Amino acid sequence: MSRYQPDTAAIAGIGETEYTRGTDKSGLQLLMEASLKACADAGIESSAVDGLVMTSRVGTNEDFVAGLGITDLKFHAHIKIGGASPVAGLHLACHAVASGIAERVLVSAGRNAYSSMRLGATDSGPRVVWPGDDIRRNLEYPYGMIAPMQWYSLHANRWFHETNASREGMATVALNTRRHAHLNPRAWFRDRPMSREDYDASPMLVTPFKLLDVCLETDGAAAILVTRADAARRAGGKPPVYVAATAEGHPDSPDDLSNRPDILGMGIGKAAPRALDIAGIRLDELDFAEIYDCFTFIVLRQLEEIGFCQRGEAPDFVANGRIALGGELPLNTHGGLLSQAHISGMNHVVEAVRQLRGDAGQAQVAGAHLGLVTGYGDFGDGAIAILHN
Amino acid sequence: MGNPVQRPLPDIEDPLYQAHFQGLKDQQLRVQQCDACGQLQWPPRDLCKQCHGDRFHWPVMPDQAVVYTYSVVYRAPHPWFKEHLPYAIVVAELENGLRLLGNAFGVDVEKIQCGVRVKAHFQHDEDSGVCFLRWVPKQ
Repeated sequence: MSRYQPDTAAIAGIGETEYTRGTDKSGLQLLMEASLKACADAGIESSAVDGLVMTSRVGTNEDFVAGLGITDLKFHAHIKIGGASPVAGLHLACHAVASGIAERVLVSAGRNAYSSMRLGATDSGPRVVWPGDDIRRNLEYPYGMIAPMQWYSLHANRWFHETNASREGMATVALNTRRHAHLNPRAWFRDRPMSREDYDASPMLVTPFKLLDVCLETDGAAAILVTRADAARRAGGKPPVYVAATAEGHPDSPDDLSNRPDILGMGIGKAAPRALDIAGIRLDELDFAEIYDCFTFIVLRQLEEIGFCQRGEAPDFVANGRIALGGELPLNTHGGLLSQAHISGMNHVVEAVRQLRGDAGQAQVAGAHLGLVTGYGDFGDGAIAILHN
Repeated sequence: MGNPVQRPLPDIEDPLYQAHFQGLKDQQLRVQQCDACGQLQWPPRDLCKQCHGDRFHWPVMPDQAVVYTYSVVYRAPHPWFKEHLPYAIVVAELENGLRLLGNAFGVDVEKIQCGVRVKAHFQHDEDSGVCFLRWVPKQ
């Protein structure tokens, strides 16, 4: 079997709903709205979509067939690795079009998380079922380990202990991301400044996370349309964004942090070398990076596991403007999950496409040619994509 | 005054967990060991991660451990835990490398750091009939 050849697949269309806190639309309506926009952006009729990769808890292939008027669905899949799902969905879609089982594959993500589902709401409303549900219910929930930020804190506190990493890194990421959100009219926090004093004064929720280290909860959806690159060029719409490589990776004991032999190990550490090898590029060639940022800390850890720097060094790596617009590696140019919206990271993929089309407005990275997108989900699953124009 | 909100409870009858929770009631830390190859594992699994065996016994572990990692919680993720704030959750590593998660209710959370030596305490809850693992720093 031959492996994926760089640039076989392309992202031909992107679509986003408005990102809000409060909506009267259902999760499915949001998904359809974003999906229809992605089709229109790609210049294809939604009825011609012939592959579906669904990365949200809502929506079945039948829902999409009905909502989009699909006439001949040849392939569908659901991906359930939390925030790594959209980029892993892109990964699968690229291989689907490369293999020929489908030609126009829609990858969607979205939820009305703010309006209908609050994470950690175990006493009321629909409960999020995590991997290793028996472990959670028997060994963690009874001890008050219930919310994602608590699991992340186990990783973070051990990281600080093993590496003596600077505590400054998380503040750098929070402030940098908010400044980028101010350049994006689609960001929820576009008008809300954050000073260093605001960051320092924000309440400690779970050591080491302050409120301003934690992502937003929002309502919204985003989608992308993946085709073969030659088909995208022939279609003559917007310039295609080429997928040089994608990869997915999973940590050891993916449903359990406590007994993971190396709790700092993450799926992205396995996926990144695979993607870099396929794409045939070095990290220092990248013009920007959209890194999954449900917490400030997990951005730092991904940079380390991808190989931008050694463990414990990410706080120094992100210092001195390196990750700001105009710096060496502008990071989360849209405002990320921290300051734009929580669309499970599909907004990161959409932003990378905008950057590579030169459509990123005030946040445009000058001369953007090569970009990196990551996803992080559940207890350390990872996905990565390397895109270029 | 009773707390109207119930603590999230484990299923102490779950076949994979029953021996562990009975152990806590008996003031013992019991974990899963493969009958065939002797592999110790935690959390319990349907199959042995070493040899894929599916028969197990539940030996008692020493009650001394070292904090591998921890979480200090200032905002309750569930209403029952509000009255215990701030509280620590400790993942403590036994000498054999297995790690068990427990609370450290009623402990000065500033004292919880990686590397701190802890001892298992067993906190029986009359209402639910469940005994919970509590890690307490050694003086």
